[in-house]
Amino acid sequence: MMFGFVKKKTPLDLVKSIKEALGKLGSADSRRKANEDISKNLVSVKGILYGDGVTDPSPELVAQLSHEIYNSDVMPLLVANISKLEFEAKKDVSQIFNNLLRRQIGTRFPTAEYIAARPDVMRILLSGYENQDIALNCGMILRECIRHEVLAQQLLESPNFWKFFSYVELSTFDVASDAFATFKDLLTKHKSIVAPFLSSKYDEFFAKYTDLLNSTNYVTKRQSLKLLGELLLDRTNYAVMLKYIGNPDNLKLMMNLLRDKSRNIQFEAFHVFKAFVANPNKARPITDILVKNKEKLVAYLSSFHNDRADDETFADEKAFLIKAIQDL
Amino acid sequence: MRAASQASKSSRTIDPELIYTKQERIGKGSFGQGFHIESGTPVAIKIIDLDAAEDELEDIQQEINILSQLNSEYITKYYGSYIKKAKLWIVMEYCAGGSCLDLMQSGVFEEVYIATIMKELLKGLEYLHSENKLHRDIKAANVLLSSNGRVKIADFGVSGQLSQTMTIKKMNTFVGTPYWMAPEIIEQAGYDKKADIWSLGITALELANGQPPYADLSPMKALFLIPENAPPRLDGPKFSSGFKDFIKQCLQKNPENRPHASQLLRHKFILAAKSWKDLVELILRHEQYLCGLDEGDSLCSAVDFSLQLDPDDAWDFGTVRPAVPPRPANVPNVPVLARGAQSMSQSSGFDTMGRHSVRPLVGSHLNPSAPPTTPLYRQYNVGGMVGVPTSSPAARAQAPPQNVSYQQPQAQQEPVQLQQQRTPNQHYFDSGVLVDVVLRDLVREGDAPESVALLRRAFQEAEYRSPGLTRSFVELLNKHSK
Repeated sequence: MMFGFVKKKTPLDLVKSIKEALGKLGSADSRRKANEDISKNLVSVKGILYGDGVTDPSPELVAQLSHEIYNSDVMPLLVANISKLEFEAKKDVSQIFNNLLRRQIGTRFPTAEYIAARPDVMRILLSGYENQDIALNCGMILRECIRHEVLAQQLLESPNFWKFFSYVELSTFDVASDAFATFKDLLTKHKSIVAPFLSSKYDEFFAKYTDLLNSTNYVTKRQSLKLLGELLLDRTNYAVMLKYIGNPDNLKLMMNLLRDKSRNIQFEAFHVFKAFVANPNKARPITDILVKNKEKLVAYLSSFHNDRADDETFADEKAFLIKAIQDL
Repeated sequence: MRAASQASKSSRTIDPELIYTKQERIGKGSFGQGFHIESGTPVAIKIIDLDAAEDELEDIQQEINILSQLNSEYITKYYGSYIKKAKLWIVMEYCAGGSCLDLMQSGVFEEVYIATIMKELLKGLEYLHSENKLHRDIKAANVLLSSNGRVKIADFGVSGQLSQTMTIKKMNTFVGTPYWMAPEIIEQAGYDKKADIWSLGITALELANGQPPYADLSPMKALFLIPENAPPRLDGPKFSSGFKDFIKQCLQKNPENRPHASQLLRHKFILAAKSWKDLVELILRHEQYLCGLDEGDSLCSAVDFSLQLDPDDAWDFGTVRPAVPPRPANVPNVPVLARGAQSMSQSSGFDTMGRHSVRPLVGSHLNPSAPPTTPLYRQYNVGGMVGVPTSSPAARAQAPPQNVSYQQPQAQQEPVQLQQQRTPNQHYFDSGVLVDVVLRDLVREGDAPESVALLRRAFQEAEYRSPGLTRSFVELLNKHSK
């Protein structure tokens, strides 16, 4: 082949070949060849979107390519078949999606709009957590999706959202971690939609969330406790926090976690516990519990994580809590 | 929805100890050997206590995420990670040949082997760098050999990923091991893929000289000298000009002047490399060195099936088991298997930790008091598995270090032949376990251990001649006792 004279496939050809080959993945005979074609063509698509390392991507080609991708409706097909693709091809699909999802024309994000109009795409991506082979590829795309508020809101409000509570508890560490990262993004990236969501679904959400805090899976327990602290101490979730720290059951849970055998869990529990104590308008049942355990709490906190001497904020907060409890 | 809850229910109960057996002695933060119970595949297992780990969970998760997205024959393969209580199990491909640092215990490598190792490493780095990933801790201890001589880059404990938006912005974390660190990392000036090329050059020097430059100084002193001094060079008449130039190319203080991995693959030093298959010779040399070192050691005698049984070490023939992994078809009884594998780890003094561990300082592997690894036995496996019994006299005569008394025990020949005679579908493993378990219970007070050893030997020989015989025997015994 003479350099420079190789006829490169046009975006139209590429997308067309990929779509055709995706249709042939079902039969055992054509599968191998179809997979080869898909892998090869995905590399070319990636090359157009990201450039080849020497030259930057050409805006015209990128525009043509994305146009073809939307028009051919190949994106839903790619996610639906991602488990059948080769290892590198799976990664390429993630990279292609994530590039397209960042694509911006003026103030519009055409790919986000495209996916918002096809809720199946995110539903299939989410169910990717049920298959270890594709979980991380799907998770990567999912997190890129929920950077867009419109997609985050869609996922938050879909019945599928509740599946996260089982995905984050998987004992396959890599999958559970990825699911938790997505879950966390969903609950922290777009505060203005999360606060109303948590208020309106308060009972259902915290019932399930309490299960995570009581999980036998160490990672689930530790991470969900940490995230709880972040959620409650965020100003936008003020109303949710007031409701949470008004419930004596939640206080009991935190006091128990404060004495968990894991130091890290104790420490995370401290950061939720402090909200109960620092609340100037404590509900009666909350004060009752604290008063009943006054001496024990003061003694426990006095020797609590004293080796964290270099953490001044922590030391100050702890001193404040001890004093507040003593003054009850 | 139902599918989801089912999937999660089944996965939620995954207990790594039901999938893998591990050696008791797997150290903190380092890799030890284990087995996949169902297939018998040897694996490397690292167990991290998440509650004791200083790192944030997110950092560990990020590392695992990077690992799981790598798929190359030049890089140890990631199999999975599991949570059991507060412990994280990371399961990776096991490399029976050990690390280049281990292998150097029997002497530095000849130039041609170094060229071959460098070539394979460069291919690994080419892959990593094309994936926008850095290794950041290339050194002999992190270069492993599989039983057939494949070179694999291991331990991505400190690898970082260059995100797509960060290709120009450089990383700025201080990681690696001092002696192998590029000047720009030490100066915290930001670095990129070229830092791995520097470490590669230091590793080449390490393989040629036995240690990296400044190894006799403290790490702090090295950190000071590396950016200060002119880059190290390879000296001595025994090295070719090509090798010297290769080192010079890698070790340029300005990272921009260092070639990329793909460019270095065309360097004349690399073009003179041989096939990775020849690296098996390094493994053989090392095993023979170890056996010579521990002559009369139970590991060696286990191979020659002698009757010299030390009462404390009586059933140590279990240590030879890992070389003959169980095959799925032959595994009727997982509990027995697991028990056998465990007893192996308890009774044997075999330390695979050193093979995979990454300890921060040079020389920590070269601990003469460390128990030897199961030497000969893996050697035979090498011969059996790849069909190249490379232990030809020529190969053995090659490059034993001068200071090593070099032994060629007679007994070596016999098991090699046995190995070759056996069919791939031998029943040795599980039968061996059965014998082991049964005979252990047979030791009564007052018995001379030799009597039991005689029995054991009879079983072994019978098993070699007619694989599966022991199992049939045990089954028949069971049937009659009912």
